[in-house]
This record gives sequence, structure tokens and C-alpha cells, in this order.
Amino acid sequence: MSEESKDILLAELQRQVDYYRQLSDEVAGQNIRSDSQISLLKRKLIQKENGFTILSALHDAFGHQIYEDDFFTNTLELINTTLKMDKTVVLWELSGHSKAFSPKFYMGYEREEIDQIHNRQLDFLIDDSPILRPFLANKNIRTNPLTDKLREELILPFFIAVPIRMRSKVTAWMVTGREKEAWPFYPPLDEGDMDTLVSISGFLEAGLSNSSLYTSLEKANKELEVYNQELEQRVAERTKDLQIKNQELSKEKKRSEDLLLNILPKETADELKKNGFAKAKLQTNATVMFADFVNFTKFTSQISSEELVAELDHCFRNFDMITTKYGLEKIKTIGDAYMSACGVTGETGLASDVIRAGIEMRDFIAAYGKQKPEAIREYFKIRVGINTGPVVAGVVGLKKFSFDIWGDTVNTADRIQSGSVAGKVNVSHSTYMVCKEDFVFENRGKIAAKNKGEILMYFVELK
Amino acid sequence: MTAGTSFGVGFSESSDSRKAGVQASKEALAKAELSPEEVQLCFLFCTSRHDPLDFFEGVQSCLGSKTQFFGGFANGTCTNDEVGYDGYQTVIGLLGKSEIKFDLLIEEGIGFHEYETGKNLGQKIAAKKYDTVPQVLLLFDAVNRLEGRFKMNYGTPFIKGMNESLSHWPNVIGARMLGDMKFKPTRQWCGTEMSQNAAMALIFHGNIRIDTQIMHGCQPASAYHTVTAAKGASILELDHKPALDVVGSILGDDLLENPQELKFFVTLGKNMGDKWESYNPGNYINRMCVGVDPESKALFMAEMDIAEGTEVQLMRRSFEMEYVAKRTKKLIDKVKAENRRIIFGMYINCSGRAAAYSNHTDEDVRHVQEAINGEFPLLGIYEAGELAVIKNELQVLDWTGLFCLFSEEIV
Repeated sequence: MSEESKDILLAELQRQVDYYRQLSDEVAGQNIRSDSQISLLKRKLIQKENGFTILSALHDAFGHQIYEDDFFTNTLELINTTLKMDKTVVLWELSGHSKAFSPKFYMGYEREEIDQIHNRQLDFLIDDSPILRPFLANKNIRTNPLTDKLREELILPFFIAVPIRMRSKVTAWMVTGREKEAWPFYPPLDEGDMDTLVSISGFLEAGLSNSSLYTSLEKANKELEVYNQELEQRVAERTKDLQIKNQELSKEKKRSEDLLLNILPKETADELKKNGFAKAKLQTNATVMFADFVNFTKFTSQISSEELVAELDHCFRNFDMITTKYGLEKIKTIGDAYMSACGVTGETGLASDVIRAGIEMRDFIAAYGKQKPEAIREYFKIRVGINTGPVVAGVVGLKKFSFDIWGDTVNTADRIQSGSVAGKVNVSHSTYMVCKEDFVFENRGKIAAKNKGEILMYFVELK
Repeated sequence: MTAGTSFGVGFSESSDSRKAGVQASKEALAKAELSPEEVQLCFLFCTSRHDPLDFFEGVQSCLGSKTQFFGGFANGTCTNDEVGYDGYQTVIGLLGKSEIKFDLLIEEGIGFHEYETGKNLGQKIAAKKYDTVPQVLLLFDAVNRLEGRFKMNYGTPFIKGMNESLSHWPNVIGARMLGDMKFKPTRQWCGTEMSQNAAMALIFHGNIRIDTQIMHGCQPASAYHTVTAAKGASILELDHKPALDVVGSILGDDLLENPQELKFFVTLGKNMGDKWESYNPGNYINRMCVGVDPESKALFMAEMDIAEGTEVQLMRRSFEMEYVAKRTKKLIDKVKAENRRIIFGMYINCSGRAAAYSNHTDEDVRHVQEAINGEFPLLGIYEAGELAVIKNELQVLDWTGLFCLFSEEIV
């Protein structure tokens, strides 16, 4: 190749190099510019994304951060870290001074700075008119006396201030911002940032209402708790009094009931307590017993009345124990006669128990009589008469209730007693018929009874 | 088999600094299955939102009296499951039951004295004699606020100083530390003390190796342009024209109407390998434009290492993140194939790459976590520049994720 050709080729190659070099730069420029535009769009996107991130976090925290301190501390921390702010402060309205605000919550301030600003009072006024809308102070915005004052007093050169309202009234101001505006890491705060902070202040307002509600509820709960404690104490004291009174009442009641049961059979007493009256009822299978001292009239003339009553009392107490032992109802005493029965309260009573009680009563008197002086020993003998049949049993009248039984069975029982002899237990044919297998009976045949004609009678003894 | 080093990582986002230290430490202890007395080394990082004293006290309260500490501020942290930045993030990594040896060295006073600090720290490292190649984690304070106004502590003079003291570079990884993107002063912990304005080195030796995978997050997009005038960290001219005009002609003149938008957006790449070879991330150094001077039309770069005669390319950011998982997995497989047990992984990420700052909708850390899939513990930090060896020399990298594996040979 000739030198001339080489030079031409070299020149051509140089042109090519220049061409590709220029092309390379152009493509680089286009690419980098596109990247720059994408970058700016992404910045806007990130700004919005950060806003949503913080609102979402606040939404999550809203339900469980019920105390004002927690709620503000967490919100301020979120603002600083998510929105890349250096300092955030919430200024609270001073009580009794509707236009002045003083710092209450801080985040990002150093201890010395907090000492410096915590007592400051700031009026959010321009030309004596209160400011009610959010505002921002960045490098590009014309300043005013309020922004200048806030910058100085809050040690925060670039900031956004948003009001926090409660019940339509500005209660607090949140001021958040940066110490520096340095492209590209800390671009000037703009309207987009302000929109985010206005949304956050909405959450703070809701959080404040929430917190205020919880504080009221908590206060009410505490008061209620104190009241409850007092009430519980009073109730405890009153309960103690009542318990003592109840115990006394229970004792009284038991005494009354015992007394009543002493007078009336249980069923009759229950009916009387329940209804105020006890209806006399027919009892078809009653066995009635009379026990009567022999020659009692003569005995009364030989001892004093007091001694007589004392003797009767002793004997009848023992009769009471015997009849109780066999489940008999004591009906009454008539002079020296002791009347008892079974099957008169609706419960089935056994005639055999009446016979056993009668024999035991007789034996008791016989044994008791042996302890007495010879002269009066003969008076300690009883006649016992028992009859089985229907009776009407119950309480009649309005006063001084006493349980009694009526009917022919009763009269016949009395006649059987009259027809007995001292130291014997005499039973009627009806009684014999129900107990004939259980005892030893001596058929006495028919014996005359007053107003009854002749009645078949039996002496009875234990087998 | 080796006895096996135990390592566990804990994370907390509590705004109570002491509580954060306690929470993260307890989680790390539980995961490492170590008692407090068994912990030999504690890595600890927190953001500048924390009170450093309270945080350190919280961590110390959970560990034994012999535990040594190494860490400092970070703009964010991550673990196998967690990632966060610009908030109250903390991370704790606990190492124990290990036969691996380590030394902790610190050199304070880096502000305005990067070169001297690097030189002194290099001398301290050089004075140590190791049988094996030292494996170094290097951290230095990025923030100089000694005079109030922020000034970056540059890595270029610091590395130059170290380079003069070291006959050859050990295996080094590291980071330039910051606690937020507002460049508040940072803190460091080394040994049992808290410090600031310092550079420090954790030097492992024995049966341990650090392997790295550089993931730049951008790739070359333009032709090569030559730096024809530079001063310090400023590029004044490209191809004998004002640097801003050249960039404007490529990106479009309308972008020049608001040149400040070029900050942290324009990234230049310096290819340390063959110019015409296919893109190899291991050969590239990214340098971020951190400011523009409209009057002189100069670009202020994050480091001072782009001198006259350097050829650079405009880099384009990678919006697709799939490459992160692929490269992470590739390194894991490589290390495992060499009969090594991975003790833990460390991801040192550029803060600017975090989605919220870079306007990505995806976090690169998520792809690292996905590739690891819980196989070993991960401790990650967001810082202001990553340190890795490229072509046998330590470099500060911008806009880069540096994935590191700490492993021990199975014997």
C-alpha cells in the first residue's frame, strides 16, 4: 500500500473513531438523561410510598397505642425515620392562653437542645391573626416573622408545621424538619411532604380523641374501683351484722319451731306455718292409747298439790320419752290421764308400737312405785287402754292451738282403759286383729262399757 | 477440622441508645452461641442519631471484661434479614472461640492531616511482624468539622501516607466512616475506648483470609475523556475544555441550567486495566462528583486522585440489581471451593446507593442477603466510601458495594 493510500486509510479510520466516539457520548448522554428523569419520577414515587408507609404504620398502631405519650413518641419516631426528618416537636396549647403553644413531645433533639427549648412559648400568629393552616419553610420560600421565629426558637431551619385539632379547635402544632437541605439526599421539603404530614396530623387527631377517651374511661374506672371497694367494705360490715342477726334469728326460729313441734305434730305445724291454718283430717288407721292412774282421787288427798304435780310431771316426762321412742304422738294429758296415738298425722303408725309403748309405760310406773314408801306404793299403778280405728285429727279454733283427735275410736279407747285393771294393758278387738301375731293376748270376753254396751277386750303382754 | 470460630450478628432500631446496644448484643450472643466471657472481638456500628456513649455502655454491659471493640458510626446497617439507614439502626458482630489472632491500632488526628495520619498508621502496621499475610479492616473518619464547617477527610493523601510506610500492601478492605448524610461528627471505637477524628486498623493474622467482590453499581457509558487540568479534588478541564461544558455537551445543555443537580449524580470512571478490554469492575475506580462550581466550570470530586492526564468515562448507574446476587454468589462459591469455612460476610456499601437516596426502588443489600440465604452471618454498614485493593494498591471507591468474606481454612 502506498504512503498516500495509508494516509487516506488512517484519515478514514480517524473519522470513524471520531464518529463512534461522538455517537458513544450521545448515547451515554441520552441514557443518563433518561436515568435522571426516571430517577426524579422514582423520587416522587418514594415520597408517596414513604407517606403510605407511615400512615399504614400509624393505622396499625392506632388500635393498641392508647396512651398519649406512647402514641406521640412512636409517631414522631416514625416521622423522623421514614420521612428522613432530623427533628420533630409537638407544641401544646398552654392552658389559659389560647394563642401560645409550648413544646411537649420531642424526637431527634439532643438533651441540651431540649433543655433550651422546653420552656419556650410560641404564638402562631401573623399580624396578630392566628394561623390555622399548615405551612412550610424551605430554602426557596419567602420567610415571615413566624417562620423566622420558629427556626430560631425550635433550632430547626427547614420545617413543615401542621395544626392538630380537637373538636375543631387547634390544640397543638406539630413541627418537623431538617437541619439541612442538601441535594440530592435531603431535597427541599415540598407540598408533597406537607400533604403527608397533614394526613399524619389527621391520625394524631384521631389518636388524641382515642387517648382522651381512654383516659376518661380509665379515670372513671379508677373512681368506680374506689367506690366499689368502699361499697364492698360497707357490704362486708353490713353482712357481718346481718350474719349475727341471722344467727340470732335462726336460734329464735329454731326455738319457736321446737316449741311448735312440741305442741303440734310436724306435718300439722308445717301446714299451719304455710297456710296460717291446719285443716282437721280423717285418719283411717289410727291407734289411740289412754293411760290412767288407779285411785288417783284418793292419792290427791294424801299429798300436797305441789308434790302431786311433781309426781305427775315426773311420770309424764318419762311417758313422753317412751311415746317419742316409739314414734307416737302425745295428744294431751287430762288430769292424771295421758293420751297418745299413732297414725294420726298421715304417717302410717303401727298399733304394735302403741302396745309396746303401753307395756313400757306400765313397767316404768311399776318400777317407779317400788321406789316409793309402802304407804303410797299402791297409787303407782296405771290402767292402759288401746283401740284402733278411724279418727279425725287436727287443730281447731283461732287461738292457743292444740292438736287433738276426735271420733268414736277415741271414746272407745277411753272405755277400753276404763275396762282395764291396774297394771294391765287392755286392747280392743280391732287392735287385737292387727297385732294378734305379735303379742300374747288374753281374751277377756265381752265386758260392759259405759254407753257402749259390751265390748270384746284383751289383755296383752310381750311374747 | 478447625475448632471453628463462632460469629453472630445482632440488630436493633430502638431509639433508646442504651437499649439498642443491649438488644443487638444479646441477639448477637444468642446467634453466636457465645457466653459474654467468650467474646474476643465485638464489631459495633450505629447511626449518628444515637448517643454514642449510651450505645457503647449498653453493648459493654452485655459482654465480658476482656472483649475488644472495633467500629464506629455508619449511616445504616444490615444483617441477613434486616436493612435500614438514616434511622436508629445499630449492628453488632461478635467473634469468639477463635484461634485467629488480631491487633487493633489507632491513629487520631486525621482532620487536616490525612497524609500524616496514614503515614503513622502505616508505620504502626509495618512495625508488626506477621507470619502470614495480614488481613486488615481499615476505618477512618470521613468528617472533619474541627472548624465547624464540613470538610471531607480525603482518602488519597491518607493512602499515600500509608503507602510510604508500607513496603507492600497487606490485604486491606475498609471504609470512610460517616453517621448520616448531613455529615455530623462521627465516633470510633477501638480496643476499649471511644474516639473521634481517627483512623484505625483491625489486623487479623493466622488462619483467616478476606476475599472481596467489588460491585460498582454503575458501568462505563461514554467514550474516554482526558483530564487536562485538575487541582486537588477539582477537575477543571476535560479535553482542554471546561469540565462542566464537556459534561454538559454530553448530558444536554439544559442540565447546565441547574448544575447543582449534577452533584452525587455524575460519576466518572477510571479504568486501571486495559482500556479496550470488556468492562471489568475489578479494574475500575468510580469517582463521584460532589459539587459543581458554575463560575470556574469545575467539577468537585469525592477524592483527589484524578490527576492531569487521567482518562475518565461517564458512568451510568445500573438500575437492575440482579448482578449483585450473581457476583455475591460467585465469590461465595469460589471461597467454598478452596476448602474454606466462611466465618462471616461483611458488606460495606456506599450510603448514596441506598434506595431512598439513589431513587431506586430496590435495595442492593436485599440481593446480597438473597445470595447468602442464611448460610453464614452477614454484617453490613453504609459508609462514605469503600476501600479495596485494585491493581495491588489500596483505593477509595465511590458508589460501590464491597462484599467481603472472612474465612478460615479447613485443616
